[in-house]
Amino acid sequence: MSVFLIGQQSGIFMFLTNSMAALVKNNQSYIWVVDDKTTNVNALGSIDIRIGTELQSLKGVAHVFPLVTAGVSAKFRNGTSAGLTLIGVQVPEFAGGPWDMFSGKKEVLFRDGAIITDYFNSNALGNLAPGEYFEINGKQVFNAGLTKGVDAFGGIYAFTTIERARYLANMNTDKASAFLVQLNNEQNEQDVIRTINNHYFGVHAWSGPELTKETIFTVLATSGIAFSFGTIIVFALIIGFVIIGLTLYSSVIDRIKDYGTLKAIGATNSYIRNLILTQAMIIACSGFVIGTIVTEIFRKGIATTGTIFSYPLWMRFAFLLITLVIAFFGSLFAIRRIIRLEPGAVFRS
Amino acid sequence: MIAKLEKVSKAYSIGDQTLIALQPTDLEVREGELMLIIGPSGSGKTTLLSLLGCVIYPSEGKLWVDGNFVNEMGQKQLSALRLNTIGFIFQNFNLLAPLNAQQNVLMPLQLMGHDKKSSLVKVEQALTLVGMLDRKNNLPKQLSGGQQQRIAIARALVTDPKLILCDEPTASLDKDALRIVMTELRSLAERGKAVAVVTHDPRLKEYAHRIIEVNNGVVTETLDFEQ
Ligand SMILES: Nc1ncnc2c1ncn2[C@@H]1O[C@H](COP(=O)(O)OP(=O)(O)OP(=O)(O)O)[C@@H](O)[C@H]1O
Ligand SMILES: [Mg+2]
Repeated sequence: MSVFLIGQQSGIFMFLTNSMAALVKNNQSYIWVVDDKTTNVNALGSIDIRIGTELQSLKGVAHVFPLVTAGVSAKFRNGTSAGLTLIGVQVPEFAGGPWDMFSGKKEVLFRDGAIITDYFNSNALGNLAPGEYFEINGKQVFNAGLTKGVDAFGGIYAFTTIERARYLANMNTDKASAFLVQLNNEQNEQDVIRTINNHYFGVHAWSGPELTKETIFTVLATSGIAFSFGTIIVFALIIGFVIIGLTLYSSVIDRIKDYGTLKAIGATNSYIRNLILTQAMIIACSGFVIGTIVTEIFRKGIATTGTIFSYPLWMRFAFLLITLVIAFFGSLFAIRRIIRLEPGAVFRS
Repeated sequence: MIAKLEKVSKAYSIGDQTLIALQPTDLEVREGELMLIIGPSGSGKTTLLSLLGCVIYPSEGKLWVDGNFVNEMGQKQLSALRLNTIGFIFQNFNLLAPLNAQQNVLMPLQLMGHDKKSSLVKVEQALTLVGMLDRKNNLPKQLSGGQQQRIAIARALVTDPKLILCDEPTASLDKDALRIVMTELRSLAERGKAVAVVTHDPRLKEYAHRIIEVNNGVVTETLDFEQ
């Protein structure tokens, strides 16, 4: 059960941390130039469009793609409304998204009023059907295509062209939220980042992975999520510890006479300790297998709602290790009990 | 002589009271004898047997078992001494419930770290000696009391110990089982083992070579009895 809880919580946690920086994570190969006050890709400031033109002339830079993100409110035909994070990308390069297309092509964004939403968000978006019209900030748009599994942290992403995004969000045409810089040669990445950070005032350049890390760190530090997941995992550890401890302890008490007999006929404490540890490891391993199966079922189940996560191999090893450690500490009580048992007690029963 | 007590006494402290379970005692236990230890309940019989079995230390006096000075030995050394030189037989048989007869008898050899193949030969011999070879795959709960005690005797014998200690070995047995078990123990003594048997039961006197009486912690030897 502990294994399941830990697995489940860390799975969701991973899903959330993934979604926290989804926008950068899916555009890791670019250098991200954003305003210098943000360390969170979910809260970008605005920067002057002329910086983009200047970046374009830097040595080693192949292309600079502006990106606009804007919070907008959408109203649907069934009368409900919802907040959206609109991501405007330059076409036809589509630097910045959309990714994980499910139905339709990115190119549908060329059509007038086209917006791409996510398959799993249909519920949140007033049961929006493919092709259906809705309003963003009072202007008519339509659901042109679907991504599947594009998650924004605590929000909903929708994609469109940069011009349409500015128009819908009433944003100045001389502003952008970020520039995605593509290089001629990947190897120069650090040099270019350094050049930008040394010569441009008011902006900061990040490599994709750095901004991802920084974003997750910022969100974790400011939202208390890490703390609440941490607490649940700590509880799971304690539960596991207590359960294994009690199971072993009561099985030892049940068979205290057998252990006493063993000691009397000449078994050493270390022999008995190994015996109990072996039992603990067996319990731990079967618990791990059951926990893994249950977590796997949970994972499959929750994937249908769009919460997709998977465990890397190291995490599975970590789970196994944690389980074994739990079992080890759980067995200490039982071992202590037996070691304290006097061999002479065997004659008194 | 397998064991020697020199002014050995045993006191237990319960709270702030001290209870002398065994008064200072001189005693020698010899090979080739079945020594019966009789006496009323609470008199100190088990205490005496526990001292011989090296499961408790003497409070005062000196104790040797098989040439080892027990007073100065550590728990680990005592475990080894028990394993190698002493066989234990208990009132309630104390077979390990999850193990079958064969595995129970195998246990001490396993603890000694003997290899499985030669061990199994010894197990067969021990089970044959007590006439239980045909029940080797039975679990303790599938056997009668007398049968369980015979398995326990096989377990005590399999290591070829010099000293065999029995605490009330027949208390859970009926008349026939008692006769089988006691005859077995006596013939072991006659083949050169030292056997000590604690009992309440005067019927066991006929199997004894020697009788020790314990009263209120005081040990006396009874010399006139019919063999
Ligand atoms: N571990 C112990 N702690 C405290 N007192 C003990 C302990 N073991 C034995 N005693 C006490 O020592 C005395 C002698 O006990 P012992 O078990 O040797 O008697 P016994 O002759 O074997 O009795 P029984 O025939 O009932 O088995 C008793 O009063 C008992 O309460
Ligand atoms: Mg007793």
